[in-house]
Amino acid sequence: MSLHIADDQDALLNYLYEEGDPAERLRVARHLQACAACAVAVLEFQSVRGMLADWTPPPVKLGFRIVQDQQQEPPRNVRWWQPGGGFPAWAQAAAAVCLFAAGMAVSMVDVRYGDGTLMVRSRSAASTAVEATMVPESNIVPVRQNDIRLEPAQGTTADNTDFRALEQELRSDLKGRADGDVILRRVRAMIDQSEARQQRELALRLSDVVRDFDTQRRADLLQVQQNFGQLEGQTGQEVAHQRELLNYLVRTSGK
Amino acid sequence: MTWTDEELVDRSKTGDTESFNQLVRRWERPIFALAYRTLGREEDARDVTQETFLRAFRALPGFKGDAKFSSWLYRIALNLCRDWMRKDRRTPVVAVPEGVDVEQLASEHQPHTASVEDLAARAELSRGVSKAMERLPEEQRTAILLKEYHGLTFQEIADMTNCPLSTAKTRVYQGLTLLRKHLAEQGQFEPPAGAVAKRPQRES
Repeated sequence: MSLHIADDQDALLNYLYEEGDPAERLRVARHLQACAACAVAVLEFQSVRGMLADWTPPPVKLGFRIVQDQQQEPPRNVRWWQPGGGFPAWAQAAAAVCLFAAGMAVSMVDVRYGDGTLMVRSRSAASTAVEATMVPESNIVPVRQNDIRLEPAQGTTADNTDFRALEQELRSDLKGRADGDVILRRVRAMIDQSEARQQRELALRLSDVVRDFDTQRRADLLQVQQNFGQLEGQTGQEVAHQRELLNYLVRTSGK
Repeated sequence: MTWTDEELVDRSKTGDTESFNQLVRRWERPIFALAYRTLGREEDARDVTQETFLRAFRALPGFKGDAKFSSWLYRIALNLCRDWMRKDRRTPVVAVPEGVDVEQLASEHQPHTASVEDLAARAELSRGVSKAMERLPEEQRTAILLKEYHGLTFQEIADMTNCPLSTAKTRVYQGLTLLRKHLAEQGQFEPPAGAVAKRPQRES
């Protein structure tokens, strides 16, 4: 190669970033072995690139995800169990309560009502976690452009909101509908979602704790090192002082 | 099973929000890194990242797949960064925030065996590089960011920044030359001692 590649922008960049014709890069490599000036120029560029590697963005938690506002499901017409044209409202309500209670017993869900609040609790996190993969897809609502938003997947008070929504939903369902299976499915789905969310949150918090602990450990180590340094300095001074004193004593006793 | 970007895009187009969320998880960190290195502020970078994915989601039906999904995302993010700077009538400030110390850097990027002195030196170097990058013209800075940290080819950079291939190369070349000068002025440029320097870590 007759020209210096340090003056040939294309050749230099293709060589640095390993782009372009391999044969051309090979020629550049051979030239670099023979030309010290070009070799230094290339090394300088590589050195700058190496320094760029140390510029890192701050560690942040992102976890964005697209979410959608909950839509009211369209009322479903489930009349196959009403061959006679329907039951009285009180009978439907009684049947709903029976089915709901049976469902709760089977699914190990603890439901308590007091002080005007309905509390629903899972007794076995493990069993519900396993069932989390079986959430019916009927819960997925098609996304509408106006309803989407992006939010960080960090711990929120969504659980409380969910349970309040569940309470409202149960109340309205108990009044107007007698389909216990539907309620049971919803309760299970809500609980599964809640458990999954709590597990995610727990994992996030655990990672926070581990990182905080590590940071504290490093800070402590640094402090200990500094203290040792100071101690060594003080000890050195003390030894020197003692030595001077000893020398003085030796000199005076000699006289 | 790991889906490719193209497969996830196709599934997202059919209304599968979770597939799009997989794309978000896969690309949010590179997009955040690009926005942070362009704008220099963590909060701004976070907002731009969020807006990038929102816009991408809304525009997904119109995405024909002519370019790579990642290139398309980068383009959206860069346009947003540009709008962001113009809107606020400010130049990008590329600086390490006050809150970031060596321990924070260490927890994310360094192996735990690195000594405190090493970490402090790297943090200092990081500040120096960010200062030097701050002084680059916007086009050169963008070209270097896309090349060094996101591994785009010169042609992809040219396509993304709407300029000829030769211009993209010139921007990278001149940017690196200026960086070397700025780092030397700051007393941080280490003359090569014969060893080949390490390459920057790519974000993707």
